[in-house]
Amino acid sequence: MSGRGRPQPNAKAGVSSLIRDWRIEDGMAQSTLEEVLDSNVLTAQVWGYSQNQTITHKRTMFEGQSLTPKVGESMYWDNAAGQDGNWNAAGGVTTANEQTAKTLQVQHTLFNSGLLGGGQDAKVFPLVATKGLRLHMNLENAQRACMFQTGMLGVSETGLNPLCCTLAAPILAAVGTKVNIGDTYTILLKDSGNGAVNNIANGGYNNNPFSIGDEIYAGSSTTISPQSPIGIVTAMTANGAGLLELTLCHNAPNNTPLDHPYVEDDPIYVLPKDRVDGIVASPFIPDEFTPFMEERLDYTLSNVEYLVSQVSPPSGYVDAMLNQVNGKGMVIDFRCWSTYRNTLSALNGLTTQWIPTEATRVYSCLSTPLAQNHQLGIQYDSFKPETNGAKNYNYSWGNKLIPDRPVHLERFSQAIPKPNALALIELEKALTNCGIAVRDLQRSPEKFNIGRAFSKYGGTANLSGSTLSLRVEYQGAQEPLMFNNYIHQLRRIQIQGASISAF
Amino acid sequence: MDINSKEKGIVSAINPPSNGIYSFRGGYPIVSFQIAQQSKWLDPRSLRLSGRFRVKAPEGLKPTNTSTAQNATTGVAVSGRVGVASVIQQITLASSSNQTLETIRNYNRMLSTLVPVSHSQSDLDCCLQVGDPASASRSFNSARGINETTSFSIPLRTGLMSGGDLLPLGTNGLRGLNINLELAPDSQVISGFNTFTLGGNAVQTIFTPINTGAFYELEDLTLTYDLLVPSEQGQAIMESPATGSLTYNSFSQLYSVINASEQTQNLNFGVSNCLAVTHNFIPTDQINNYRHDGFSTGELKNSNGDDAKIRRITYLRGSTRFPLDYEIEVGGRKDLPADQLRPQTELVTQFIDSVKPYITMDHSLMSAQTQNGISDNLTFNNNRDPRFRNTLAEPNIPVFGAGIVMDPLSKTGVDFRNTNYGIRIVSELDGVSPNSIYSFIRARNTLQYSPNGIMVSS
Repeated sequence: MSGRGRPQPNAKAGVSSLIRDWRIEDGMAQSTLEEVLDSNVLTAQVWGYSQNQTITHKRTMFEGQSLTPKVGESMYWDNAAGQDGNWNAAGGVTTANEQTAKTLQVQHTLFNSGLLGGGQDAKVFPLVATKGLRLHMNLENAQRACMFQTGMLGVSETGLNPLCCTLAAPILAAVGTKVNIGDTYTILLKDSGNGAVNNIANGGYNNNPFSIGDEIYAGSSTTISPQSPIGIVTAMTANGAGLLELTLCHNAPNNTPLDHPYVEDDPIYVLPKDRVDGIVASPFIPDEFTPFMEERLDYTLSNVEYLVSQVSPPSGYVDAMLNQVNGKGMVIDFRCWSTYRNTLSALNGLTTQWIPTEATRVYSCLSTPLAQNHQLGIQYDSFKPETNGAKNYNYSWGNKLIPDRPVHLERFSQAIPKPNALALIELEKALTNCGIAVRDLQRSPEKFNIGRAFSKYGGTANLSGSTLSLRVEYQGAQEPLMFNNYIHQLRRIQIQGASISAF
Repeated sequence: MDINSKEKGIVSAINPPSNGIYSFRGGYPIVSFQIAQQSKWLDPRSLRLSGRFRVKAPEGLKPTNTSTAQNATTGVAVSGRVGVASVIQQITLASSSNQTLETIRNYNRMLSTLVPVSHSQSDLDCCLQVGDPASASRSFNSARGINETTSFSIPLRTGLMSGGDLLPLGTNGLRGLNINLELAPDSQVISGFNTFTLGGNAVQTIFTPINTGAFYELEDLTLTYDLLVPSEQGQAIMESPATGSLTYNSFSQLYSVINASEQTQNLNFGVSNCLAVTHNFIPTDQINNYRHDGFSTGELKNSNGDDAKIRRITYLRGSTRFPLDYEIEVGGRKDLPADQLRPQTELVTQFIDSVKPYITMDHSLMSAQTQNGISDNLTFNNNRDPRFRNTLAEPNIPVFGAGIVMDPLSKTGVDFRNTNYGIRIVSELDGVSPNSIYSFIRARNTLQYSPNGIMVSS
């Protein structure tokens, strides 16, 4: 990773957050055998339900998941002064000991794939019948795939983010007035204990969201005032009471005061675009800070290999298989996911979306509501499903309601969110029917999904011939939504001579 | 075959010392059990070694393991990961006619890998601790559990006993079972425990003076097990001499030492159906040494205490790479800082796979906390708050090793009777720091019985 503010792949899906879509084709690239769009979103949903303590550890060690918001030593970021961060250690943080990104070694299966996903029920695939396989992967935009380790804390486009940090003491406009280019001043941030900057000395944990080179903005806690830059962070330390103290260099010519004075509790934050694009080098800031300012959000994958085990059957077996391919043909069945995306045009009321699947052997449908406006903001968790005032839902196939009465969702959107039991049971059935072992139903409102199993006992349902739709009723919705509807089905590859088709 | 009833069996050791106390120090390091030949089935999963266990500080004093300053009786502990089983150095299973079925040397070292790879922190601190008070994810908790004489009831995790298949004890089968346990030296079993400062630094507590020696004792040892009794017709079939065979898994062990930065170990397994091989490492001077945990499974180490990171590793059969036809590179460029190497994913996932299928890894102590000291954990209800570090497994005590599954698809095994196994390790070892490699081979054996007797082929 690179960038200020400790960016990392979305903790819900680890490094697989970086893989948006993938497609498997036969060796001649004639037929698409399997394709999943927004695979990272699906992985993020499934991981939340399939985790237990050990599986989370495994994902942390080997699959790039980093859950903790504590900005000490982490999987992605090193810390020169030790485990728990160093701004409140002697000397604080300067350009000399700013945290650096680590290179991780990651290994995981192709998540959500029936052909190459591994797993206990994985089958051997006859490469000779398809003349090999081709795998294409589309990587995800860093702003969607990644988020800061401390989430939205201290990052805002307007200063209205409730997770902005706040000033612990007022500052005068005159403090920004410099005589020399390198002159600095300090501001003190509050330790509110929850949401702002905690520190170890006060019994919390270190969640300082700022980095050397960040351009700090200040707003107003009492009026909606225009955002105003107050300086570049050149050092971070703790004052005598253990509060975070930022040393700032005003990014303006000498003898220029700040735009405004600021009072206690005024919000302090950085702009997401500064973190994404970097900050242009300034003649008003000493050169030593330029590399830190210019650092921009990005990730790099290197030495990417696809490792597969290979079986060499006896030649007679291969000959028989080729005879079958060239004669009556060969059929391979496998489980897979198909994605159908919808954007809701209405915010509230009864919304209906079509899921135009023609699959004839369906296990389940998993519907994930995502916030439209959170898909390209590094400060947002782009894979977080939104309850958003949902009241109830129903799938319908043709004119038949599935289930035959609305499933209530009101409790998910209460001030203290709670699950609706029936909705959760429906979701668990849907996931189990997809072969996903559900191990964790804790904090289910935070991983809210709508699901329905269309079959039981290992059977499948035929959803062709009529249209599947999902109706969700909303009341008091705040965020315009988009839905990713994932159909889990049994797919068939038919190979006859040179003809390969999958349906 | 119809099963009529289940019996609960219990046998005592057949070689009791005069005072009833088995101990290495007391000169009674061998414990033998005999399960008689009978027309019944033994449920190997039910087999437990039970008894009473105590450690004693020098001069035979009772230990007082607390977090206070170390003294003569504080810091007398055993490995929390291995528990009471750390006293068992070797297990030999044989038929009543002394036909050896399985021999595991350094059984306790094997457990130091097997247990943490396949048991989670909750397993160690709750489930395993029920039968083994010395079991814990933190050495201090383990030490507290053995301040008094404690009862224990532990499984014998041999290949034969872990297979799950019922074992026939009659004429057409094992014809009885002899179980021979060899106890380990006190200095291998006992070491101190760790506590941690507010800054997270480990502080070892160990009894003083060390050269006076702490020791352990076992008494009231019994073996308990379930027997399934077939119908009369079934018993008659079991007793009427016939020819047949049964297959079972077995472990064996080989020991070697590595010292050079690029070294190939060639081992002769002599088995025809090798399923997997697992290696763990320990600096040679830490074996049989009170000052060090003899069951640590860390990375290779140089004599200055630094990890000697493995850069590349290759598994060989004869002179060819096998079963992977490529070298596992986990180090990247030589100039890359060592702390950029963590975790060594490709190496460690293969190692886990050699113990249990990696894809089914859902109970393991291994975490970023144990491997790298990174407490990347949330609270128990998954609230996005870091977990208090004292509730986590002991940091920076890695469950590290190397290993490979030989035949993951057909699971029938690979023939190593006439071919050497090799492991080539390229590491940062400095050439003056000998490290011991314990190699555990899991293979499929066949027991053939006939009116003439029984024969085991491996």
